[in-house]
Amino acid sequence: MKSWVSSAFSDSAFANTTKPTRTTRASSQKQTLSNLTNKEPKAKISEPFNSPAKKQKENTLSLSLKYEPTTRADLSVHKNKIDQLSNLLDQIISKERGSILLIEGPSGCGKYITLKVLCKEKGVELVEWDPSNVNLKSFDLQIDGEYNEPYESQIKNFSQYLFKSSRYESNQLFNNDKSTQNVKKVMLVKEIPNFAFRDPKIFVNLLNDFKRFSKFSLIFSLTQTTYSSDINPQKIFPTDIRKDLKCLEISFNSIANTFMNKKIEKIAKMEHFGFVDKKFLENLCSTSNGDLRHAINLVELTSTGHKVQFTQKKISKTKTGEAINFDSGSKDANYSIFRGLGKILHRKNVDNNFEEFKMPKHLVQYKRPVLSADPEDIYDKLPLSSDLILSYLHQNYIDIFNIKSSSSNFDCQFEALDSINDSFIMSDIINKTSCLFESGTNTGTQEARLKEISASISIRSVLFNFYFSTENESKSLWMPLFKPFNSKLIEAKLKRKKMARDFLNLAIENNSNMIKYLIEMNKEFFIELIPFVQLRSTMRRPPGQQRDNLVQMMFKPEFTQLFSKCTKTRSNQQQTTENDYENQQDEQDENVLLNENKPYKKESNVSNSANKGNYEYEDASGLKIEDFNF
Amino acid sequence: MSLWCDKHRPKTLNTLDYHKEQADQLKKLVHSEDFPHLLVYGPNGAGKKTRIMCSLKELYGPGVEKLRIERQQFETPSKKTIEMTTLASNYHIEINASDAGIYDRIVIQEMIKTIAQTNQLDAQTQKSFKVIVLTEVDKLTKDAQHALRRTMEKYMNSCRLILCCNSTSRVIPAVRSRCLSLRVPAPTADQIAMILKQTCKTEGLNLPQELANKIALKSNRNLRRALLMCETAYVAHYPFTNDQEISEPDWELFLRETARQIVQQQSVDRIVQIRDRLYELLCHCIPADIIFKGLLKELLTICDGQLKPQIVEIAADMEHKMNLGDKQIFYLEAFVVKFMSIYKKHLEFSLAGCI
Repeated sequence: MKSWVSSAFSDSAFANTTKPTRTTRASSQKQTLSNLTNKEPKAKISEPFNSPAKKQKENTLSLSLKYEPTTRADLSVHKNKIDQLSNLLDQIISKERGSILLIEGPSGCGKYITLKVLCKEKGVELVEWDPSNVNLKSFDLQIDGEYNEPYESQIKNFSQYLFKSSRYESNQLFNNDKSTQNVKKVMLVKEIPNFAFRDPKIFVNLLNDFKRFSKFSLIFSLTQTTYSSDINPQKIFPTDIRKDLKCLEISFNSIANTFMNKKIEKIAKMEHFGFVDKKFLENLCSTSNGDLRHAINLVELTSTGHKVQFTQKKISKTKTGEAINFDSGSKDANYSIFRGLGKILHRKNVDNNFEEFKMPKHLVQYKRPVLSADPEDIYDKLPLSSDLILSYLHQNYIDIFNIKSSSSNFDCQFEALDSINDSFIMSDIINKTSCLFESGTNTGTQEARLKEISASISIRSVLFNFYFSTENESKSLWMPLFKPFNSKLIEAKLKRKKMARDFLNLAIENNSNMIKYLIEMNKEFFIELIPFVQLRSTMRRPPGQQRDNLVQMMFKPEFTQLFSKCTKTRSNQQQTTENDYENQQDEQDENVLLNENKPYKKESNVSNSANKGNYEYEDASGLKIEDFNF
Repeated sequence: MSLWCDKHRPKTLNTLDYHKEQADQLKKLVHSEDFPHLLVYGPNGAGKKTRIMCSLKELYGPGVEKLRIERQQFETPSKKTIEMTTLASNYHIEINASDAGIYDRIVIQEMIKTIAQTNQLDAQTQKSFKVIVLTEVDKLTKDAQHALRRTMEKYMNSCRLILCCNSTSRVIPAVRSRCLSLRVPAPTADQIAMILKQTCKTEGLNLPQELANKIALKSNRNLRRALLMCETAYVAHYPFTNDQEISEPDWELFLRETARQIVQQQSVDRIVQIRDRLYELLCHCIPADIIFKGLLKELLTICDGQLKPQIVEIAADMEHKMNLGDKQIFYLEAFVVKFMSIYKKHLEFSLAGCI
């Protein structure tokens, strides 16, 4: 095989770069499905610390595999969920024609295991798609007689998996065992092939074809991720596609603590770990976040780490103390945007005693209790750049500040506000400076360091200033978080500029004098020309006088945004008295004036709506937290 | 139908209405053997551009008035293409390089290089150089200005630069010293009134002296604005009356109202409202420095004399920092916060003094 030479961007390379945890798991599953018997070497890799006291064969399996549930009763999933899935499976099997089922859930919640157990129960064979399938490749090469192709396209591989298996009952992909011929088969894809992320269209087309032609059913087991947008299954299966494909759906929740406790206690018993301390279990549950596989792996890790005690069966003693810290083994958990910002905006103290250090007298007012979370830690865990954090904070701090500080006096409030604003400004300037490094050759450290500092300043300033001695307890109040409007502002400006440019291009056709404004778009055009042209249009005209070209042009619907008015306060009073007259006048004008070509029928409506001042900002401020797609 | 300020723009140096001495000097300069690089600066609506175009016409004849729009593409080192709009005749080219943002250096270097490397075909009858008009030079980055300096020297044979800006304070000394600086002061109110009357006369309208004076006063000595105001007044109401209302651009009214709100009440709630209003202004492409200036002007008229120096200092500081940073709203808001805090403290102090 030349696979190690192939380019990093080729499909086969993608196929091989799967997540490490998954591959070990997938490969171990493959062993049970196919009749391969080389269990030992793989398992050995996954568990390097063998306890010498046990029998060789049992020990080579990692705990999570060893205690993998084989019956329904063993499963740590809620009963209703199992029944639900079982019903869905029945539905699929009876239908048999190209139905698609999506199983969703966070990692380690038992999606795959439940499916496996149920399939076994129903006597259905699961056929998994293995992205690194070598068998198929060699088969293909022989048929085509082409050896010059060192790798095979993943798209081809996947489509072959989908269709070959359906057209010919026995397939190279499957076991060639004739005895399995009559067994019903369900196809399972645990990892969405990489090409789907690059080109979802091809993938969806394939699935559509599958629906039409296949005799079998397809099951997707999707691991939910909360933040990373690039590899989110949601991107491949948005709601409209789910509808189109008529997908059946079921989503698993992460495993409840009670189930997890039971399971771990059981394992501990079977492995003769002895008594398991409650505190240890609590600790375990909180670090694993409902990921059972992870929890079991942690148990295994701690047991092998304390091998000496383990052999002497004193494990329970070490587990009782808080000496075992799961930090090193804990999951690399990121905060969601909402949670991370909440941690900054809603200050949480460890406790209210701050006797540990003494402040000099003149600084006593700056004394703050110890924080429960480290500000830099929050930055590390927030999936946002420092620039975005700053925007988010700026957009949202003031509302929350308003409520929290409502009981303190003006001086206090404004001192804090002033200090926050100063740090925001500092943070912003540092951010901008860091961008300069970006374009230079020595990217990386300096830039990242500056960004860190910038984020640190902004986060710390908010944390520091959001502390009031007379804090009123309005913590239960729900505050919506808004997307920063600042980043939208740039878009709005660009849009407006583009509109202005279009407008000018149109105007130049009629009047070549306007040509010079194309160059000076930035200043005069927006602060002088547009306001005055707009004023002209809202003025009452002497009867009989026609609207000039410029004014006519700006009433075209596509330009209304450009001329939407700034002054809400003033216009309404003036306009109401004149509106009736104006509208009548307009309509008369149009009939006389614009009969030759397209009459601007909408004119009067448009001018009215322009008066209402429909700003983009109003839309933007309407953004609620739902928009974050949590 | 074109706007008056475009329609009645003087086309030759002889027909300029004010600063006639300067016009004569320009004329001499054009006819002298050696035409230098020019740096024309002055406030908005003072007639910088008019003067530049007049000089160009004096240089090359009526050919410079045949303008065409050209779109040029430039590629940055990071393979990003920027499209720039330029205005060109056979003899000159006009560009606003500050549109390119941080890539303005590339635009300037590339453009000047391409233009300067082609010589005029017939050097006997024509001038031996082309002219590049760069507007808003004060908005260029330092990088771009240094690039300008180098290219200026290198291609002196085949091209001349005319730089145009509001203030020379942001132009680096190296560039300033290589140009002949030409300040175009704003016309006086009397001059504006005179021009307004003259314009109306050519339009066949009768503008009373009083109204002309009123408009001239309101225009802040900005001729373009005065003409626009006058035209708007004409559209609104003709024949003119002395007491008719002169409308101002809506954003100025909006800004005035904003300033009034700031003074009216100082609280966190109010800051939230002000922020919305500031966003609205920015959204309408009103440059942040103009918002700063307008806000400061309005606030200064309202607040007490003792506070003025302090407030101006803060505004200047914030505006300076704004140019270093990125997010303009931060600086505007910080200014509002600082103003509120100072103003309120002062109010309380003076109230306590009264009792």
